[in-house]
Parts: sequence; structure tokens; C-alpha cells
Amino acid sequence: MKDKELLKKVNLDWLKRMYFSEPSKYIHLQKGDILLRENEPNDRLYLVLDGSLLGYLGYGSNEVFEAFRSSTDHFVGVYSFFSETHMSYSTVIAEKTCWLAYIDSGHSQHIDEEGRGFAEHFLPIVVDEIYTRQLLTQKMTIRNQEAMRKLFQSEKMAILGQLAAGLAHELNNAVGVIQRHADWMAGWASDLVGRYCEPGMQLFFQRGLQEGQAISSSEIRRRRKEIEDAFDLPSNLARQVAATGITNEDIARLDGDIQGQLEQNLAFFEAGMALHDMLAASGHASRVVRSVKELGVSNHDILARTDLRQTITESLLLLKDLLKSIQVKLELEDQLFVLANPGEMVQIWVNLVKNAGESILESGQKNGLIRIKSWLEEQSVHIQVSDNGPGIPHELLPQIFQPDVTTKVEGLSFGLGLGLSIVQRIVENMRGSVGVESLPGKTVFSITLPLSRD
Amino acid sequence: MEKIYILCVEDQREVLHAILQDLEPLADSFILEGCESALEAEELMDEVDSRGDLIGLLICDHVMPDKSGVDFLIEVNRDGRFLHTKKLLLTGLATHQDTINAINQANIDRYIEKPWAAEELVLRARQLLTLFILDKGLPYEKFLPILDTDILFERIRKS
Amino acid sequence: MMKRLKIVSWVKPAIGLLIPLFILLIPADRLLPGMSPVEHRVLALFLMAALFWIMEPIPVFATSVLIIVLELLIVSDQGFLPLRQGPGGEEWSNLLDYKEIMATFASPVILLILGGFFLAMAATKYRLDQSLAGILLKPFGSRPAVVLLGLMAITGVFSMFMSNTATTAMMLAILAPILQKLGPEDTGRVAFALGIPFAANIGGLGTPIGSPPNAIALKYMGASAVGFGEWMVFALPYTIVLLLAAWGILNYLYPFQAVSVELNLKSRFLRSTKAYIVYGTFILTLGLWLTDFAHGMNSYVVSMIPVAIFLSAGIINREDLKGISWDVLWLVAGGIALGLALEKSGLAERLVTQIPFAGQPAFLVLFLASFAGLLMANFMSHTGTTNLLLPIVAAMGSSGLILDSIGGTGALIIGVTFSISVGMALPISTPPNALAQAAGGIKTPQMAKAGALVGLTGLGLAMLMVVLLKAFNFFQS
Repeated sequence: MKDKELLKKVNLDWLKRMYFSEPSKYIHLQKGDILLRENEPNDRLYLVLDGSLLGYLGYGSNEVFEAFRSSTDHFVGVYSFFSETHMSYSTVIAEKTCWLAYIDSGHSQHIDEEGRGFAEHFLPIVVDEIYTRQLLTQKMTIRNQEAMRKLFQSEKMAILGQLAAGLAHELNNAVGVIQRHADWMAGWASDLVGRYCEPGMQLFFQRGLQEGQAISSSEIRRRRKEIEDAFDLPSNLARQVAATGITNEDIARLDGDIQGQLEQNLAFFEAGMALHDMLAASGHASRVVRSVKELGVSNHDILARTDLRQTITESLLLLKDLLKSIQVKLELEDQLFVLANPGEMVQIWVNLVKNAGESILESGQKNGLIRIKSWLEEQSVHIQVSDNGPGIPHELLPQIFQPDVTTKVEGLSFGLGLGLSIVQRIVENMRGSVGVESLPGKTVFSITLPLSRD
Repeated sequence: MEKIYILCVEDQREVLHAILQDLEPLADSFILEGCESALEAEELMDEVDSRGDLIGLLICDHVMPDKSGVDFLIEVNRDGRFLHTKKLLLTGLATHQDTINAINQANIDRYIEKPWAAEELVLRARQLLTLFILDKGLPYEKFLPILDTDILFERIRKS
Repeated sequence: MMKRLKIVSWVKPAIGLLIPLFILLIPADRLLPGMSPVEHRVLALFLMAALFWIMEPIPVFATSVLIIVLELLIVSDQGFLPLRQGPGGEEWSNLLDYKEIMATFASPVILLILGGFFLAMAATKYRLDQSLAGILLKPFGSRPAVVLLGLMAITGVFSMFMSNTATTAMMLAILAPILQKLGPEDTGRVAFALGIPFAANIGGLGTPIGSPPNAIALKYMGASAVGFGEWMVFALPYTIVLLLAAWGILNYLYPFQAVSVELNLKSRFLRSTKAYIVYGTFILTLGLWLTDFAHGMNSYVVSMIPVAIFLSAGIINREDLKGISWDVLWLVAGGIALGLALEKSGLAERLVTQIPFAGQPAFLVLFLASFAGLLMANFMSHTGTTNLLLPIVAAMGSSGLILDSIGGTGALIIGVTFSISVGMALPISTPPNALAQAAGGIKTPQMAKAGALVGLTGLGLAMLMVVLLKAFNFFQS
């Protein structure tokens, strides 16, 4: 390679001396001057002595395409000079002030000491030029594809967001109906039972409605034995009674056939609990739906005084399943108000917490912990989301906020590789800042937002 | 006569209650027990075993805090005391790898996806308990009403 | 490889069948003067049994059943008619009673072993063995040599009541974590892995139900029969001394490099009613066995008590019954049938009188027979060896050979039986050896060196024991 370069250099110097040293054939161009025009004749071969030029295809039309760039010691007009047509295929414009030297068809022939003629001298130059331009085209194509891919990604995200928001909107109404009716039903049934049923049934119904399944399995086991012993009941019935949380005194108050009554009353507990669970489930569903709805909204214009605590709680709700085996510790101040779009805030927390949670789960770590901490300063709110996962690889850290950077090995997860770039965009839009520090066992994302005082 | 337990492990109380409720038809012949975590289940199994009673069927959720259902079932599978205990994985959220582990390492006998249908759950439980009673060599006569007759007759015919 | 296997597969049964047939073709008188046709057939049968048990072309228990069936066909009073009658149409006088042959399937010895099986099965099912092992191992601390002694002692004790193979399997499972922790260079691994099967083999001698050869020996001792407790009076000290010797040999050959080993055993006794019944029955049966002199029920009768209790209480159920080692029971039954034929046909006596024992000192006879037993036992099943040797050895007593100097037939039988049971030099010698080799990664030469030493020590101790028993006049009382 070195020999080759040396050879080329010597050749170029020799060529310069022999062909491009006639001052009458020097040209000076100002920035923006046009050297060659597309499809116009040219019989000169230019050598750039200083400066640089750009070649365009379709110059002057709607679709201009950059074909090549030539700088010092490169040649311009290679194609038109050596081809049969002597027409330029591109428009060449000076990018900055240039000095060029040229030869034209009437040039004289020189032979070097090794006996090589004109063609032999210029063949490597022609090949080199062709190769350089080929390379440029390829690079452009790749960059183009990359841009398309990113566009497609963000398009996909946008569609997903819209889809989620649309879905949430639809469900919102349905869930609302269920919630209202469950509420009404609970009140009505409660009233009915209170008016027409025996006290035992009322007690069981109310326990189910108020508490649901509030007794833990180990407590049930303990009470089961007590009830079995105290009232000489079948083991299975005792378990069911224990699950209601009814005390021994309450049971003793039932007169007559205790077993028969308990069996009867259990159905009332079940009914009460069914209503309790329906209320709880529809409430949960409507909260999730609301969070998703907000997640989908990305209209920066709607700014409101937002309680960060609430957005954090909502985002944790969305990630409930992911966080099942991970401990989440909240250390939040009371007055965390910022001027923001609540949906965007939820997006931030979802992204940060989800990243933390997934990195913990993927590492197979058992005692995962995510800590969300806040503190207030004069003008700003600081929120830290930290986890004890395996950390972000050192070499990835500088580019972690770029789109398409991911530490996740596999997975079809929502927001793949775009999450942190979204976080950064939102935070910066709000004139806040986001930073990251990561070591194995401790990764901290710190977000600073301007405080909103009323 | 030793008692046979059906043990359900599920961290969500409401769901646990629902499973036990669905298994109510089996409550006359077996003892139903619920646990909210794998650790609690381990303790209970230890206790049941040392009383000389048997764990016939273990119904277990996968996604639970502390110890996952599959990990728990793998341990039970290695435990010589529960050699014949039938294992049913009842879950909605098991990854491909979890499922592979459940089959290869925990030797689970049945996989039911959430949400489950009560009839399906009871049917599978009856089948597995039938196998348990036969494998253990327990007298099956007193369980006849709830056993799965197809499996029972097939086994008796073969032996 | 396939080709070789093929040749081997038909050569063995061919040898086992052709040699006895060849013997049958030689006129009886040419073999032994005065031998009757029935004895002639029994001799051929005996040879076949020996060849089959040694070479094992078919499983050893199949050989046993084959013996019983062939006896029924060719030497019983209900066998094939032409074989029952002499040239004049008269029945041979020394034909065997077919009922007696069939009864070997349920002879007292078999039922004694069955009782032992029931105890062992219940102990395993209710984890008495594991719980006890955990508790008993605790006092042995963590010094490797002491832990080895503990493991061997417990293995020895357990194998007195459980099958040697089952005990070995259980103890090897306990040992597995220790073996994993010891470095690959630590020769102590070999000591640990060999200690278990050796202790199981040795411990098996401790009680009449410890291993089948003991029960067979009890049967042949006939007149000078000893009870369960009496057996233990001499067998237990022998077992203890030989266990200590084996421990010393292993420590010397394969010293430990590790300084300490950890044993973590969960031992929790089951607390159910059934478990208590198992514990109670265990103690009751053992107590009755040891006190047979006081209540008059011999060990065979007592052995049926756990069978009845465990079946009635549902401790051993239908499924468990299927798990009984019928192969072991039938292996022993075949041996008893063979002995029966040798004795009742009169062949045993004739054979023994043919060999000029009379001039030999009794102790030399004892030594030679014991040494032969030890040698055979290293290459074939102990029960098989006992089945073959004891009928002949028992006949020596009635052959006019003066055995008084060593304590009579009983002493001879005990000496030979003990020597057979200490044959453990090779992986094929006993199932425990095979298990340990598979689990412990022991090389055959390592086992052979230690096993041969322990075997020879056992032989020497057996001789010494016979001398001591004679000194105390044990068999005369």
C-alpha cells in the first residue's frame, strides 16, 4: 500500500509538473461559481490545486442529488474528458475559493523515464476517481436507509401511541359503565340485605362487601383450626368460614344449627365479595385506562400544573406486572408540582422504571430494588430513579439518550430503543435536564425540572 | 388414614380465593389449602408431610414475588418426599423459557392458562388426583365418586 | 464388539447345559460307585446350577426357578413317569416329595427374609432410615476419618435390618454432597466411596435377616440351630471388629487430604399415627427376636408379626407389595430346593464320603472350605455361593468327619458363611460394590486392593471366631 501511494505521489507530482504547470491554464473560482454544467460540452480535465468543489445531478430542478466532492489533488471533468461524448454529466460548483489547472484536448504528450505515456499515467487516476464516486454513492444509500428506518420506527411508535389512546378512549366508556353499575348494585344489594335478611347473613354480606378477601392464607390456616376445634365443624367449611374473617363470637351468636347457618351465610359472603371485587377491579381498570390515555397524548400545548407524585403512581400502576417481583421504594416530597403535560410525565416515569425493571429481571437478580427519590430546591424539582440492576455498559453510556441505543438483548417490547430519547426530548422541552450515572449494582437517572409554585 | 391435600399457591388473594372456590366440588374428599407465596407453601408442605399426610396436587401460579412458581415446582420435583405429588402450573404470564423449564426441570403434569374455566380446572384436578392415588397405591374405593373413571379403568385393566 | 457379544451369549448357556448332559451320559457307576439314577440326575442338576450361577447366562433367580421346576420334573414323586420307575417298573426309593420341593417357595427362611423386607420397606417409606441416619451421624463431627467411621457404622447397623443394596443406595445419596466437595486429588474420596459398600456387606452379617446367606446358614445348621439373639452374640462382635479393621485399612490405603467435611442432614421424624406404628413394630419385632429364649417364638415366627401389622395398618399397601424383591426370595428358594435334592437323594452324603476328609484335620477342612467360599463369592452372587456350598458343607457333618475339634457342623457352616459374605474385592462381587463404583468413580484396582485385604482379614477373623466359639463351647450348649 505504501509503495503504491509513493508511486502515485511521484506520478502526481510528475504529472503536475508536466501537464498542469502552465500558468495560462490556471483558473480561479469564487465560492458558488459554476465550473461545469450538466449535459454541456467540456473537453478539459481539471486538477484541483486548492479548495474544493461539489458535483450535483439535476441541478436547478426539484430533485438535486449530490454526486461527488473534489478537493485538492483530485480531478474534475474526468468523465467528459475521457469519454467519447465530451459532455459533463453533472453540474460542478465551487464550494469555496478554488485554484484549478487544466489540460484540454490539444495537450502535448510527455513520456517519463520509465517510458510510460499519457494513457498509462492517467489510467490509475481515472479508476481512482470512478471508485471514489462509487463509494460516495454507496454511503449515501446506506445513510438514506438508516433515515428511513428511524422514520419508520418513530412512525410505528406514533401509531402505537394513537392505537393505545384510541383503545383507552373506547374502554374508558365501557369501564365507566361497569364501575357505576357495580357501585349502584353494591348499594342496592346492601340495602336489600339489610332490610330483609337475618343478621347473620347481613354480617357475612357486609364483610364480603367491605373487606373482600382480606385474610391472608396463613391466617386462614390458623383460624381454620380454631374454628374446627371450637365448633366441631367439617374442615372444609371451617376453612371457608375462616376466609371470611368472622370471629368466634360472631359464630357463637348464630343460634340453632350452626353448621347449616354457616353454609347458608357463606353464599352471602361470596355475593358481597363478588361486588367488592367488581368495584375494585373496575376501579383498577379505569385507572389503567386513564394512564394509557394520558400516555397516548403528546400534545405539548396542554400544559397544566401537574402533581408529579400522581404521575409516578400512575406509571407504576401501568407497570404493575413487571414490578411484581421487584421492590419499589418511593421517597417523595409532598409538593412536587411542575408545569407539564401529565401524559408526558407518565411517559418519562414509565420509560425509566421500565428500563430499570427490565434490566433487573433480565439479569436474573433476586432482590431487585427500584428507588424513586425526590428533593426540592429553590427553583427546581429533582427526581432520581435508581436501580440495583447490572448497570449500563460503560461504552454505551455516552450515547444512551440517542434513539436506537438499547441494552436489551431481545424482545418485542414497546418503545424499544426509543424510550430514553423520548425522555430526553420531553425533559428538554420543559427546560429541564436529565443525566445518568451507572455502575454495576447502581444505575441512577436524575431529572431536574423547573418547579411550579402557585 | 392419611389425608390428601390439594395445595394452591397464588400471590393474589382474590385469585387464590377464586381457585379454591372453583375446587369446592373436591372439598369433601380432599383438603383444600391456599398459600400466598412459595415460601409459605414450603412450610405448609413440610408440616403436612411430617404429620404423615400427603400432598396430592399442587396448583401453582408462576409470577409471584420472592420465588417464582416454576422455581418452586423445580424444588418440589427434586424433593424425594413429594415424588408422586402432581404439579399443575396455572399462569397467564410465563415466558417461553419459563415454560421450557417447567416441563424439563419441574416435570409439571399440566399447564393451564389464565383465565381458566372452572370445569376445566376441576376436570384436570380430578384426573391428576386419580393418577396420584393410583401411583401411591392408596385404596381408591372411597374416592370413587370423584375419580376420573377413564384413567382408573385403564390402569386397573393394565395391572 | 457385536460379534463377540453374540458368541458369548450362546456359549455360556451351552457350556452350562452340555457339561451336565455329558455327565448324564456317563454311566452312574463309572462316576461314583453305587450311585442311583436319581442321584445321578441331581448331580447333573447341581453342576448345571453351579455353572449357571457362576456364568449367569440367565438371571440368578431364573436359574433358581429352573432348578425347582427341573427337580419337580425329573426327581420328584410326581414327575415324568418313565423317570420315576426303575427297569422293573418299581418307583425309585429316593425320589423327592413334590410338596417339599414346592414348599421351598415358602420355607421359614424365605418368610424370615420376607419379614425383614417388610421392616425395611416400612422404615424407608416412613423415612425412619433417613431420620435415624441424620441423628446418628451428628456426634461424628467433621473430621473426615471420624465421619467415615460414622458413615460406616451407620451403614453397618442399617444393613443388619435392611438389604445391603438399599442401605448402600441410601448412604451413597447422603455421601454424594461430600464427594463433590472433596478435591479430585483427595484419595479420601476413594475411602468414602468404598467405606459404604464394605460396611454394608460386613453389617449384613450382623443379624440373621441382614442378608440371605445368613438365613440359609440358619436353615442348614439344623440340629445346632441358633436363635436370632444367639446369632448376634457372635456375629455382632465379629461385625464390629471387621468394620474397624476395614476402616483402618481404608484410612491407611487412601488417606484424607481434606481437613474437615460438612454433613448437612435434615432429620425429622414423622409424627403420624402410622409412623408411630412403624417405630413401635420395629422395636417390638427386634425385642421379640432377641428374647426368643424367653417366650419360645423362634425368629421365623416372629418375622411374620411385622408383615401382619404393616398390612393391617395400611402401612404397606397394594402398590408397595408389588415392590417386594421376589427375585431375592426365589433365588434363596432355588438354593434350598437344590440343598433338599442333594440331601434327600443321598448324593450329598455320597459325595462327601467319596472325598477323603477323614484323615484331614477338621480345621484344615474348615479353612479350605472357607477359602473356597471367599474365592467364589468374589466372582458370583453371595446367595448363589451359599446355595452351592452349604448343602455340601452341611453333609460333611454327617459324613463321619470328626468336626468336634472345631465345634461341629454349626461352626463349619458359620465359618464358611462368614467367609462368603466378606467376598467384596470386585465390582461384580456384590450389588453394593457395583453401586459404589458407579457413584464414586472408583477404579477396579482400587477396590480390589482394599476389598481383598478386608476379605482376607474377614476370613482370618472368621477362623479366629470359630476357635473362640469352640473355646466357649458355644455350639455344645
